[in-house]
Amino acid sequence: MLAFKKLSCTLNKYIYTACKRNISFYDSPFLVDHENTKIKFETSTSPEEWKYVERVLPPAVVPTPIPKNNYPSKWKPQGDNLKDRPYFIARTKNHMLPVYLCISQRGIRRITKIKNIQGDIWLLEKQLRDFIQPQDIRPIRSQVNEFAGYIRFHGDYVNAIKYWLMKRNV
Amino acid sequence: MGSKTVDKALTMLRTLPRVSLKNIRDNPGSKMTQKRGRGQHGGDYHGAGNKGSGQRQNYMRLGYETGNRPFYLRFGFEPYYERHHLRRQYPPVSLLQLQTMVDTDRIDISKPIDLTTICNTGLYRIFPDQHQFGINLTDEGADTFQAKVNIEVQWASELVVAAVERAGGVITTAYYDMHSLQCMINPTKFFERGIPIPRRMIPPTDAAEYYADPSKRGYLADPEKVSEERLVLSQKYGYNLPVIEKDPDYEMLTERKDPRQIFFGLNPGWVVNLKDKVILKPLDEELLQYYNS
Amino acid sequence: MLSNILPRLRSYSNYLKQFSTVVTTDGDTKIEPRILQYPPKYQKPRQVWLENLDTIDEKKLSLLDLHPNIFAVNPRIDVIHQNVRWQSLYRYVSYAHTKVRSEVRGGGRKPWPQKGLFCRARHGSIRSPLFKGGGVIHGPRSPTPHFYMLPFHTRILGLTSTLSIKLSQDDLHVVNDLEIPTDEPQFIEELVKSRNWGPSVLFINEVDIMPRNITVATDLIKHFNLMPVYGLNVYSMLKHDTLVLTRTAVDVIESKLLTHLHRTNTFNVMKKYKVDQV
Repeated sequence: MLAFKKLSCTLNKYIYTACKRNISFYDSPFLVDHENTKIKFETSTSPEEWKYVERVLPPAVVPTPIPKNNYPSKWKPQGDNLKDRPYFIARTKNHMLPVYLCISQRGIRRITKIKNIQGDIWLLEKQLRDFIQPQDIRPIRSQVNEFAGYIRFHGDYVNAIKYWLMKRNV
Repeated sequence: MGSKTVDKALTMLRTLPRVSLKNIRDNPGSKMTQKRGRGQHGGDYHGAGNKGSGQRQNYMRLGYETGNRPFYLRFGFEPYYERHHLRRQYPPVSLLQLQTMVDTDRIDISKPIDLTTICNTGLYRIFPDQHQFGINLTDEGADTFQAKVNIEVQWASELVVAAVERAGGVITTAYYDMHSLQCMINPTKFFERGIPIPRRMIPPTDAAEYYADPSKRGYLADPEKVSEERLVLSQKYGYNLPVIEKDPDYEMLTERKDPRQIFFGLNPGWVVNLKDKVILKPLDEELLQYYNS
Repeated sequence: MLSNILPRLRSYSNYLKQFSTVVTTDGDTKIEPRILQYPPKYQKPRQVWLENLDTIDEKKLSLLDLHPNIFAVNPRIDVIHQNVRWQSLYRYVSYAHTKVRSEVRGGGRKPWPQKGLFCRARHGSIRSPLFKGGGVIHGPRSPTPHFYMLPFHTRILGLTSTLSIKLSQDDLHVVNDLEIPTDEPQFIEELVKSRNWGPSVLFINEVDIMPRNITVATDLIKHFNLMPVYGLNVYSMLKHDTLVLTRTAVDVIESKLLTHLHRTNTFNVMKKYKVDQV
């Protein structure tokens, strides 16, 4: 019995010291500089091993995509020689088309927003509306903000607009 | 942002007075002023209603339903939450997203892909402290997946495995414990802490079965049985199994991590010094034994 | 509003033509043209003269290209206002302090009994907010910081908008370096006056150590200020009428801002300022 009690006492002591609760500033000791460490270590400056470290570190900037022959995902890079076009839709920094679906809080209102439009925005709006209109009997309502460079269409036409823009190599 | 309108605006500014600290303001209507119940028109009840706990500033507690048993006390037993804090979550990445990342050169397929590579693109985030244990590769885009990759995820269904192997790649499922995940998702932050790379822990009992299963391409499974399963899957889904041994990228495709390793090429126990570009390795026998076990 | 400005535009364009100067360049030194990172696909790059600071009369050394995503951005006056407000407020601590009813001296005792005195209302202390000399309810409590962080991209847009406005209003000048021949303040004053550079000028160098002559010359003149590139901010750019950048400073500004516009991850930048969000 005595032996059992002793064991439980020591156990309690270990449990108590293992997890310290309610630690305050006065309990925690100051940092001590251990100059003479007993642990032996070697430093390695081999470039082969450092390559593995660099592989693991993230790139700072989004890389520019290298042109390829085919793209299995339906992504297409932006075409070149677009300076003659009446309007221009700048890609996002991730090289994607800036066409977004804005859904209201209860999911009732769905609006398609096309951003980053430069040039003749009214022409683009008319062309897009002519393309989307056959999908609905009611006239499709739109908003053009020339200063901010965006167009908003009432309804979910994201995929249709992306298809139309990709076809024109924008 | 239209260049025509931008040019218009900037040309207009050439004739307008110099923009200075005195003639700038917020867009009209962007700031809403707080309406307080004070003064001639806000007076009477001052925005506090009539009588009751509202006007007397003695509010009822949240959830109180004026006497009847409140909703939050009606149900004493909610079994669907049992062990919810122990359930592991695997936020999804679809094969279509993976293919898009490959097409836009966000991921380098000439090297093995793992959780660190995908988190480093910035397009995917993992929160290990919220019981998220890694990537769940989903089958959206399985039909058009063509990238030959050596990918290591944490969860993959059979169709996904078939899609990756049909394209000539290799897929492995591996388990990482929470501490290893914290190191993996933000390696720069981890190296800056100056602590040695930890050992990866073995999966818990309920996950061990999954990661030892060759049909799930688990990292603890027998490699021979895995190659058997590759053949079985190719016959099930009806595609010609590409022969990896004759592939010029054979070395890259068969590059695998040790079950105790977190990063490729960096062993547990090493300390990486980013500033001096140096790796510190322990020479103590006890430490070497511990880290190599 | 536009109909009011457009006729003015037409009349001003003729007026401005009188001020154009064409100066021959020295054919001795060859100045390399600028190569733009992330070449623009639709907008034309803006051009600016590379001038010198050696002589009082300006010499146009060459034409430099400037990236339109930084120097020809939509001039967002509201974003500039938000930046200026943020710059003034985030460091501001209000030391105004009023005493609450518990802090005002006195007022511990009930002044008169609850009932019985039919002429007086019931009160618990003479320092309640109802009383003259009593505590203030929701008054200022010192010290109150007004720290807040403007979103990362709003701050970048503020910088790019201000640079675009400065360039469009002819208040941006690019200079090869900040070396001047003498340390006399008269030289710099005459230079600025003859070139119509506006009463206040902000010189921006890429390094914080500036050439000796210009530091001595502008030391006592309060409206000519020297600043390294890392100190560039919207408030200073608007406070000073003219902005003078060195060529290397332009390179540094462009490369830094373009790197921020094309970053892989932006969530890490504002992470330390987020309190309860993930």
